[in-house]
Amino acid sequence: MTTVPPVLDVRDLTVDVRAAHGPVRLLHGVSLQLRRGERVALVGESGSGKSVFARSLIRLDDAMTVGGSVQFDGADLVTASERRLREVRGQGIGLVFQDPLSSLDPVKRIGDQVMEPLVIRGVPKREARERARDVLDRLGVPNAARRMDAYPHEFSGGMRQRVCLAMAIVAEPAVLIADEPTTALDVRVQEQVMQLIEEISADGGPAVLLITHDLGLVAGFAHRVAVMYAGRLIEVAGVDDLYADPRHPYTRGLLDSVPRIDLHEGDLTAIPGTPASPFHPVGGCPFHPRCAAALEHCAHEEPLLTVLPSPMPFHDRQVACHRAGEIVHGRTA
Amino acid sequence: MSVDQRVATYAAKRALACAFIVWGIATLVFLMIKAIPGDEAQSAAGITATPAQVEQVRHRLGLDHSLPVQYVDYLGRLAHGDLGTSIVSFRPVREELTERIPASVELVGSAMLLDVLVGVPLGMLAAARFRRTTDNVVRWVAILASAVPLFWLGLMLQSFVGLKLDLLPLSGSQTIGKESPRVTGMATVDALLAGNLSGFGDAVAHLVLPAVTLSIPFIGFVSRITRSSIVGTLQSDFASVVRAKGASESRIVVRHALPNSLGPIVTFAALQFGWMFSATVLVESIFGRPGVGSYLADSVTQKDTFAVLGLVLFIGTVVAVASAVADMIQLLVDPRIRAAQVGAPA
Amino acid sequence: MTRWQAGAQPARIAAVVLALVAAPALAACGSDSTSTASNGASLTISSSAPPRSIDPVLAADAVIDEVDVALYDNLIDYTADGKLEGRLAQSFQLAPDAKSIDITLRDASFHDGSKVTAEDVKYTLDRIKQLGVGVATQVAEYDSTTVKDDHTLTINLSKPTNVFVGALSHVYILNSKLVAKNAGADAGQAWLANNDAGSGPYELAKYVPTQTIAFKRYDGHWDPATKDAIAQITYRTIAESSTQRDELLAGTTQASENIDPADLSQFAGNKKFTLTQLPKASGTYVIFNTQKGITANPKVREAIRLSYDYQAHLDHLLGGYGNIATGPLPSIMPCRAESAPAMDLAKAKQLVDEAGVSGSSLKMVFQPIFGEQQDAATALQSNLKQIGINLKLQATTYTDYLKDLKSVDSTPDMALIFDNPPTADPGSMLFTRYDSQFVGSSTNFSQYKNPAFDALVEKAITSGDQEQACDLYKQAQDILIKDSVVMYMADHATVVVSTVKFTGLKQFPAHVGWVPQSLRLG
Repeated sequence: MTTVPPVLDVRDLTVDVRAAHGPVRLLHGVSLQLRRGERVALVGESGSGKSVFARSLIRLDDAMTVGGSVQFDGADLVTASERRLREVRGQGIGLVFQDPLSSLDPVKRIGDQVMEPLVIRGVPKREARERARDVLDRLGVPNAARRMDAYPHEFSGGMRQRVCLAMAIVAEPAVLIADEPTTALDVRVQEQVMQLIEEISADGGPAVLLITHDLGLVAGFAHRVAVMYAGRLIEVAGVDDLYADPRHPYTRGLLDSVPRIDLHEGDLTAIPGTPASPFHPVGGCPFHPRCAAALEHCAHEEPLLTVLPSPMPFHDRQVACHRAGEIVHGRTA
Repeated sequence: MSVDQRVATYAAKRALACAFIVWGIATLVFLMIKAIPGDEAQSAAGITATPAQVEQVRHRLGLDHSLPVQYVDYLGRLAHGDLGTSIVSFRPVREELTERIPASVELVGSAMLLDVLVGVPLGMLAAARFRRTTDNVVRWVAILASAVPLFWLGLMLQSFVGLKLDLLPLSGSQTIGKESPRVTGMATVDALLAGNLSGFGDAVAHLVLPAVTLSIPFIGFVSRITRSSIVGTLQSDFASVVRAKGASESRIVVRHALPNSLGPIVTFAALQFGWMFSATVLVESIFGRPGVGSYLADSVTQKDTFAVLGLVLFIGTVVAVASAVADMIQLLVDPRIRAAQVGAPA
Repeated sequence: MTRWQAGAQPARIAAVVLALVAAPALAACGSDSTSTASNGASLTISSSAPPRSIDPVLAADAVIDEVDVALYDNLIDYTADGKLEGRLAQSFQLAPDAKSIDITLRDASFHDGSKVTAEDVKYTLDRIKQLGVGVATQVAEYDSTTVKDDHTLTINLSKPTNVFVGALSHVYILNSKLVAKNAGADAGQAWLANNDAGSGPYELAKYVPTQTIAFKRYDGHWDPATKDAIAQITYRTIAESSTQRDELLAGTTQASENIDPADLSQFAGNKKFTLTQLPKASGTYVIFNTQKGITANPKVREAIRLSYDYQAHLDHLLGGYGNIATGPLPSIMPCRAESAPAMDLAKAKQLVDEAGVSGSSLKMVFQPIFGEQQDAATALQSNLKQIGINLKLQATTYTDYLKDLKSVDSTPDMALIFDNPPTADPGSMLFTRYDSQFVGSSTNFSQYKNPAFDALVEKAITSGDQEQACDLYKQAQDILIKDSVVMYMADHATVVVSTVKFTGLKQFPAHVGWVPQSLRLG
């Protein structure tokens, strides 16, 4: 059954940036697969490298040096030509960013911006416009035909994010990456947008990679969850496994900081200490300075992501912790 | 009101503001005339005039009235286009200016065109190749261009392109015998109006070297402004979004970064108009072109007060109008500014 | 690992940029930039400054005079060797009391074919008096004109002066009917600024203010000598000396008289070019304040005159073009007294000691816009140091200098200036520059007061006898030389560079610039 090839197969992805004192590594060999119809959430604190991961898949930033491999549609995006990459961007992989206001060109009409991925690919203007209108309609932008002539500043936050979603999916990509798509929105609108993304991915829509720091969003949405810390994946699991039985102390910490109906506010625990910085790497397990379960060993040897047996098929469970075997529900037995 | 009507209203308001600025400049010019030490009637009559002649001039110019009366008279004369009489030629300053302004407008206009058509794309190119070799080369060339002395540059171009290569005429605004009847006073435009194609080619050939000389330092400035403005825009989120749509770097720069960066570029270009008119003095001198530059230099050395002040008024007006036009361009390009200035459309 | 490239798109931008830069150059190749070669019948001359007006009332200005001398006739003019000669005046006679001039006009016609009459002369002179600008100061003694008939008239003067006769060389006779037809409230000033109302040897063929003036020979001119003048002459305004040089090298102009000495070296030894040196009625002077301070002492003035290296001035500051000055009047003026100064530092030092002024300081103003003045001022400063006088230099402008002359106290100790006689009459310079009645009036630069000198010059000016006047002028100049009133340094020369051979290229005492009707090609 695991022979279904992933649409996106990321292996050992590394990203470095140039800094004053030589290169700084932002991603340390991240591997992640996305299958058709699958919704995967990538979670972690800000600065953990989630956005870098999303952007580096299609090499959005000049200043980043990318290594490893990103197999997509028969090509390795890490070594692909700029021309090939431009084909993949928008049409193969669509991207939605956090702040819908700054994601839109303030001086261009909404319609033109939504049409752009099609126009770039030579779709005739009239047809592009129709398809853009259909997508906006589908995403619940009222009066889409007329509103296409409006400018971004004339839209509300939620409407803008719908426009951004429309731009990302208008060319019908195989993968949609949504980078904190709801962070800048108020709670009521957040739910609507998440609902939309879910609808988009249904019925042969794109595989979705949702990037978020908010585990609360993930529960009802994702099939699988990947947890990132200090530029590494430290736990990957099916959503139910992860919530029921987080194996990494960091995952546990994340779950504990999510407000839940069944817990009182006083029980909410934030993870102690400051998040790891790529500019000040620590030896051993990157989480050990903040880890309550850390042993002396943890400061010297970095744990590798290892497969643990899972009761769910296809959903390999992976954890990078020296004490993974001893930990149940994120706590040492 | 429709958006168009609102834009028109804004344009009218801006024109009114512009008129106020010109009025302010005129008042300043009036105060400058009054602040210049020495007897105005004496300087208008000339250093060798007899006391009787001076009194005659004082009466003729109305300088025997009180200051407020003089001020009102002065504004009245300005409204009729009367800028006073040159104390050197005894001709109306307006007449002398009309002889010279078109040639300068032609030169400054074409230098401005080159400035924008070369400077802006160069800046865009540098921004698109941010921190790569092309960018570095363009930046250094731009710094050199904005630092090169106009005078030296003009002489070099003239002796190399004009004399050594014999590609273009050395000086003048047209070949004698190829002139067209004077309509606008601009050799190129007049030739076109007369349907005189060879005259047009001739006038353009005469215009190339001076326009290139005048534009080069400004191209340096404009390309640097363009580059930094576009680099700033390219680092904003929406540039990443457009790139993620699969847009090429040139599409991002031309279709998105440029319209978003137009504000500072257009504002800067408007300011350049005033600087260019002042810089024409050297270029016009080197290339034997008539114009306000040589007139200004002439008038200053001969202390021809009214001529100098007429020019100050002219250049001030040009700058005021140019900045109003710059505002209008921004208004048309940027819907946010449009919304702020004329109200958002329903 | 790979660093990705932004692709080929920026190359397209670069191509567009290149195309934009190259397009005008390509367009320009299509048009011919060489002018027609000189065919002997026409001549193009480059000049530095365009006239701001060509109204003859302003012909006191050398640039304007250069145009008017071709378009208009004067009544009387000086020949190249300094003799008065009737032009429109068939004959002229100064009354013995020097208070009026009788004139008989010859048959001549304006460019529109109408006859030149005595009424035209009257109109012209009355207009100058009415406007009170330009040449008005040169003919300030004009009172009225009595017209006897079309050809005879008498010019009445307000006080006796024979200088007036020479001053008539700048009075260009207007076609009074034509001017009256076009005159507004300004006595035709605006119209005459751009139009021709003359009877001169050339008509205005084309006038593009600030750019070109084209003359066409007027074949109806009365003077048979102008029949074979060059048929067409064009002046082109080119401000920069080096551009004038390049245009000459390129062959688009055929002559120039405004090339800087520094640029002249380019032509020396080049067989294509002819360099003609013409003495000019202008020179470099150091003016002393003869009323105040140590320069009031003639010994000090003489010492300063003896300290300067005149030969070096000619060789290095003027590039060898010009002459060492030999008298208070420029060398081409008539009725001169001569005494060439020579450098003698020993004698100068002795004079300084005799006057007891060793170690004193003096202030000298000069105009830094002129390289020659700047260099001469510095040279004099170092020469004076050797004889124990400390010279302080101060930059000024001509207008400011004239203001300083309004009183003896504000007049600087010394001033380095260029000066030229207001008219070609020697009296015009001797009278206004040195007569005591002009002290404090900004024309007597030295504030010189000497009754003996005044008597000589005033007698000369009011004399009806030109020869007697000439003799008196020479005596007056001897006083100036003996008294060391003025330090004359150098006489200027005009250097004409041309690609064609001229004959008749002469300097006329009353005209600083070209007199085109005198030119012949070949």
